[in-house]
Amino acid sequence: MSDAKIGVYVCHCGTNIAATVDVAAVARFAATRPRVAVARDYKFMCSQPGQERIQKDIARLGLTRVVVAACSPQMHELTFRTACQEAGLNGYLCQIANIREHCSWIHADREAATAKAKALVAAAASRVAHHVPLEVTYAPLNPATMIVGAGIAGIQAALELAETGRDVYLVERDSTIGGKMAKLDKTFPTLDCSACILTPKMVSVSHRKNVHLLTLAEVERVSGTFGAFTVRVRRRARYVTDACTACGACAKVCPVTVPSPFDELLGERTAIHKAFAQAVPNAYVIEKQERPPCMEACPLHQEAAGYVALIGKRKFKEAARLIRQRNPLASVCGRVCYHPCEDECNRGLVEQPVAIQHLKRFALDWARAHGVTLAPPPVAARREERVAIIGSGPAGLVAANDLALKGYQVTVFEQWAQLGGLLATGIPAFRLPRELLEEEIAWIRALGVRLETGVRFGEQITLETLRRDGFRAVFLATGRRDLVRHDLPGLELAGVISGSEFLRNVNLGTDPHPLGRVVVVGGGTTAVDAARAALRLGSPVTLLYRRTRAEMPAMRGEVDDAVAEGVAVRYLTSPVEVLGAAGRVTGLRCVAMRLAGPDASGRRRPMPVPGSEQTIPCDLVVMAVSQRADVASLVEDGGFARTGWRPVAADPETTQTAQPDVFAGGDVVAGPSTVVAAMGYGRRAAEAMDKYLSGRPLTDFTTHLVRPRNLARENFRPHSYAPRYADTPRAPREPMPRREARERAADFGEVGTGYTEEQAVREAQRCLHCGVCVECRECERVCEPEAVAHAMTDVVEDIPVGQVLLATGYQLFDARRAGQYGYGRLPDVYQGLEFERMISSAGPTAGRVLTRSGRPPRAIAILHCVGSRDENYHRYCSRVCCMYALKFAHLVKDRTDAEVYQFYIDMRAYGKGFEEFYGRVLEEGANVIRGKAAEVVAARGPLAEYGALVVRCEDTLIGAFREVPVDMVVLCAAMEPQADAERLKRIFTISQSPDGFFLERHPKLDPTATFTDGIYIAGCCQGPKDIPDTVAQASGAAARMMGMIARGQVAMDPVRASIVAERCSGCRICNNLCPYAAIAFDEARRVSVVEQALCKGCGTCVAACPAGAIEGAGFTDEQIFAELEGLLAV
Amino acid sequence: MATAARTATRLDTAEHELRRAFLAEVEGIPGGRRISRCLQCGTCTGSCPVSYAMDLSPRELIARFRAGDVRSILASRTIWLCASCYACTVRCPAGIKVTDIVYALKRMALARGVRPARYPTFAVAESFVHQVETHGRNNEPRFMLGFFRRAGFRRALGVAPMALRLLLKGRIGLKASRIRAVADLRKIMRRAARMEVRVEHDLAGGTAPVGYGVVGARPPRPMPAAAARVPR
Amino acid sequence: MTFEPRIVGFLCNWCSYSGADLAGVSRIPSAPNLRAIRVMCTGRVDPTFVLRAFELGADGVLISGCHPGDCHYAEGNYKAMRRVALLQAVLKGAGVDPARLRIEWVSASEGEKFARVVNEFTARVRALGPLKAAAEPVAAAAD
Repeated sequence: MSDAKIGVYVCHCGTNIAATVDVAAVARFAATRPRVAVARDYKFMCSQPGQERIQKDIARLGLTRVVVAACSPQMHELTFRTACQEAGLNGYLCQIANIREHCSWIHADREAATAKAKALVAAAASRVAHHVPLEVTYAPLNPATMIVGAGIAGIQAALELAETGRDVYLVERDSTIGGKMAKLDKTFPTLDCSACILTPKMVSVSHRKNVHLLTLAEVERVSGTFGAFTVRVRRRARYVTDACTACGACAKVCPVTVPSPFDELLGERTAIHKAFAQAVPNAYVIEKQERPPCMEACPLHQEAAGYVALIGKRKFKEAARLIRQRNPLASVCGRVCYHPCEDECNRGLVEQPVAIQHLKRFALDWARAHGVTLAPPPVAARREERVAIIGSGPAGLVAANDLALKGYQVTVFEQWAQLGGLLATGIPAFRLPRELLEEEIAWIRALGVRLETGVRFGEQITLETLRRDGFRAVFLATGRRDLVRHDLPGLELAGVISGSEFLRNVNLGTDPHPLGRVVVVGGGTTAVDAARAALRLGSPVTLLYRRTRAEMPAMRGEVDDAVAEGVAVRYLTSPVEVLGAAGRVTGLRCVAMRLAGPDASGRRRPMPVPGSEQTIPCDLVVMAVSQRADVASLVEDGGFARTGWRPVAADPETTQTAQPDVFAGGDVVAGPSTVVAAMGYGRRAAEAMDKYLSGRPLTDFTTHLVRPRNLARENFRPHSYAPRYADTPRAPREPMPRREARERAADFGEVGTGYTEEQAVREAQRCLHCGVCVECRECERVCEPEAVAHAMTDVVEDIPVGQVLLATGYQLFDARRAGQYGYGRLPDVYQGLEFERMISSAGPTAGRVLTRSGRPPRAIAILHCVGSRDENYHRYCSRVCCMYALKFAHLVKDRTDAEVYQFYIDMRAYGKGFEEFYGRVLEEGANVIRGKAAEVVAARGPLAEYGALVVRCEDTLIGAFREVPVDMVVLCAAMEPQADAERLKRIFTISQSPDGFFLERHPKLDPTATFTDGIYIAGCCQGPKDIPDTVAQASGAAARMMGMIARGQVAMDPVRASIVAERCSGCRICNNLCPYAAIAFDEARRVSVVEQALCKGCGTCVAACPAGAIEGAGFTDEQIFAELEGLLAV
Repeated sequence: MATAARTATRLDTAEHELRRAFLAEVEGIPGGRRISRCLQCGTCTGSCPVSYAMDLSPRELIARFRAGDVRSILASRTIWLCASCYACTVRCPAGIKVTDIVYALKRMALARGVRPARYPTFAVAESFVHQVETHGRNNEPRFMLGFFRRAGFRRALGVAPMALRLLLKGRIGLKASRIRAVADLRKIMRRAARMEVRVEHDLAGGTAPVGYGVVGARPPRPMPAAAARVPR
Repeated sequence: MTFEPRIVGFLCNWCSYSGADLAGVSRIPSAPNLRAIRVMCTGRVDPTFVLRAFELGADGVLISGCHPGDCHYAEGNYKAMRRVALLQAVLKGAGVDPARLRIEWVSASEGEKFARVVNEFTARVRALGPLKAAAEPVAAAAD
């Protein structure tokens, strides 16, 4: 270092530097600095003679270091390094001082600028003395490339890159390639049909074997470095496999239509769709947004939204089939389910939820009435294992159904004579007709399930006997039964009975003698059912509930029905003693209650009102308050742990108990719950038992367990195309027709009579189709190649490539932000792409220009510069709008009789053929008005005769305010960067210019490269431009990438960190600092080590090391301290 | 609206002074320099609810300033018609504070006593301000009298019948009422006048001329000497 | 003779150095008091650099990097931010006005912002006056 011989060269750069900085003085000053052997100034150091001067000095004077004071190192550092290298001096022994961009170009004061230049040169000279030679190493370049965005830029680049024969990955977010250009009708100035010139390229790209189309795909993460990137791509599920032949049969049967994004929401398409006719890949795709909340809420994951949509289209048979496929107890659910689906139904945010349960009932009743046989799903191959299910309630029946379908030999053991559990014994016939239950149990029996009645677990059968008989797994689904257990005096009297026992007696037909006067205590469904049943048996019934109507747990409709039928309900009344004589009940003494503060459940606690006691004479007291599982037998036999309220402990996810071959679910585990929740447990248990019997781990369940969570409530609309809930037109819920109250109270016939067809269709059409695809499975049914796969999931792939091209395009300025133009508020105000779709012959109006009312417009206004050239939105000029506005004018004149008014500030017709096109449009008679439109309003008064809208402006060429009546307005909305440009920029570590478009390395000389090596940009993502410029940039970027592929290797920057092991104390502070995880800890030597291949040279670890053990090549502490000394020497 | 009259090819002394004064006003408006960015698009005129009554459109005001004709701006009705709705300012794509500039021109006209011919809107402003300064509130009859005094009593003839009816019905009175602390109000107004917004601090030093160069807008530069250094 | 401060700037190569270049290309005038040192990332800036700069006679130090979240090396600017916060506390304790050290975020496309920052900071440091060095500058950096 002390023997360094430094040559300093101060460049004039013509007059760029010399006009402000006294270069000669700087050179003279440099010569006085330590170790400077020679200092010169010259006009153009970067020129041939300039470089040769340096090389000659190196040879003749034996220079060992070089300083060039000139333009920014980002311009010519490489130039001078190469020059030194060629003269035999390591390029890294050369340092640049920036006295142009950082000095002569920004300062006016000659004295100050010269002083600063001297300081900068002194700094460089001091620094370079401490430089050491660094060697560039090379790493192989992965010849595979990735292109993000498959518009015309991406497609063009892909076609070019495909010529290398290497893999090209074309990643596109949409379901088809083609981008915005596919939406255009004709292109300026040649009026080529856009699809005609684009689709051959699209087809061509799909045929190239080495181009891999990844549609519905987005980049999530990039790691690695230039030449060896690894890009994580998420390929979203298409829900349609490669077998699709694009025949279109599915779209014909899909019941859900939404506005089509390809048609800019002017047209419609079904949930299963192809974006447009010439889409590539030529395959359909199903749009699924958020899952419908009704399906998420159902423990069976029944496709509620699906069958409702089918009913809405009068496809009743298909609806019944869909229901049956998944639900063996569908008719039961259609009558008695607690409908968690309706609780979550988003229609409830508009006025009332869709009557999903009634629609389910309707579909099945209709199928039964029309003799439609609903075949069960196919049974899988027979398996030899025997499975025992204890209890034939809903949990047991569903488990039996599912296991039988999987091929197992299932036997159900039921303790009572009646099958069905609480469905048979607890729910009265006027809510669930007996024959329906029997029909569904017969259905399950038909699958090969053996159902044995009168067998009680713990007596006739135990776990030992079952295992001995060859049962490989057991499912305990014994449900609950209440034992009267209250601290009420007099409960031991005859004539006091629990609610469920009472209902069981009624349902089983035992104990039919006249009941006398009945008092029912309780507020739940059991209490109300018991009251209504007693009424039908001819008894006067009083129902006592200790809180008010608002707090009753029973469903509201049930309570209303009970009251209508004649049950006398007394609220805020609670029993205190059962009165009796001769061992039998004679009456019930009760007290009035009042509501005080809330209790543990959050409900207000009822407190007795002193002195309000009275006696109700009665013969039968039915206690229907709280229940408990029948645990006696279970506790003795299996030694199952009791868990407080839940008497049998089973894993809530797997339903497995402590004994691996015993599973349990339903009320016996969860406590008093609902029919459908028990069914959900049965389904989950069947899946668990199947996994267990097949030797698979009990994980990754596909059956549904509902978690308590807020489903889709925070959204404002059911899917992205729908109006907000608040704006949805109201339609009341169809009431369920019921038999007249007095009439129906006389027998046990069904109370509700079911919807008519018209009612069902009307009610079903209230459904909002949340999430778009409602999984009605019609597409699956009609698809011959069986290409529909609703269970498809996203696939995440890590793809290794060497270089990436971003061609992500643009989006249009949302003209709603400029409210004065009326977009989104006034009818018939369109933005550019919407109008393109309208005039496109394949568009929503088949190419006819029509207002919303269906009539051709008399006059159309085209407004330039909406959102561009505007301080309030985008300052830049959007470049293409003048030309496409002229194109619109031409097409309108060509196809319609409408007048065209064009409102412009400047007419930008700069390209090849553009000015000629402008002249042509003028000749065709378009009215061009020089004046930016100030606002668009609805026409009123005399102007309304000529048009529905009025455009106001100043015609600046005549200096007059003008109001022009028109029927349609087209806004030339600006091109702006895509909404996710920020996310992409972070992922690829590139920059954005102030307008938000991706930043190019040099706006003139390098528009397709970025500051990040290996990442390129092309097309509108770099800035607004038309198709020819886009194609040129894409080809240019591809050429650059192909050049690198030809070179085959990447120069690895030697500016990297390395750890001097002797100095390292092993503190490991650096280990966690590196964002590239390039620092590892060598356990053997107890020091940290930098992995050179991963290090990017940021220097963070160098600064952080407390021992100063990390050397940052090219930016060592010594070098920077020296630079500081030089910098402050002047 | 302006006929194709010949505009001056060089600025005379009066125009120089007006231009200088106008630029000084513009400097006092935050962001006032944006006036040099005017695209002459006409959005201001198109948005203005009263432009139909103006002789020079708001856009023309800036065009005329650029052409070196501030005189006709000050004499126009336009600056008096501005309703301060700010629609122009909100929508101007160049971000120009059109309303503030019109008010600057109004101040200049007031200071120089320039009035549009047969268009007494100025009198409304003057009379109102006088009332407020004298009484602290607007006394309608006095205000009207002040207006007619400035604008010409012939105008009063038209409204005299209505005025008489109002007087007889007790809706207007000739006695002036005054707020309690007029002196305090005057203090506030004077303080506000002193708190004029400061010019934007240009740290780099140097001033850029606002608006396009008009022939004669700057004094001519002397011919450079032969063999002088090449200009930047 | 008005006092003209000498300010040392540490500019990160990817964002701020390029932003400064852009200011130059756009010919945006700024005060000549700032003298720049290029580092690859503001994360490289060791607090001792700053102290040495003051020791050698700088009146102010500016560290300028990529905007938070946009660092070319992901997180280097966050490290710089932390160090500056601590360093300012140390400076204050040592009797140096912490306002003499400033950290800024200038991206590669913000030429105008760079010029503005330079002008503002120069004016600020000028107003603070010269920093009197505690001792004579050390001849060479000790390891």
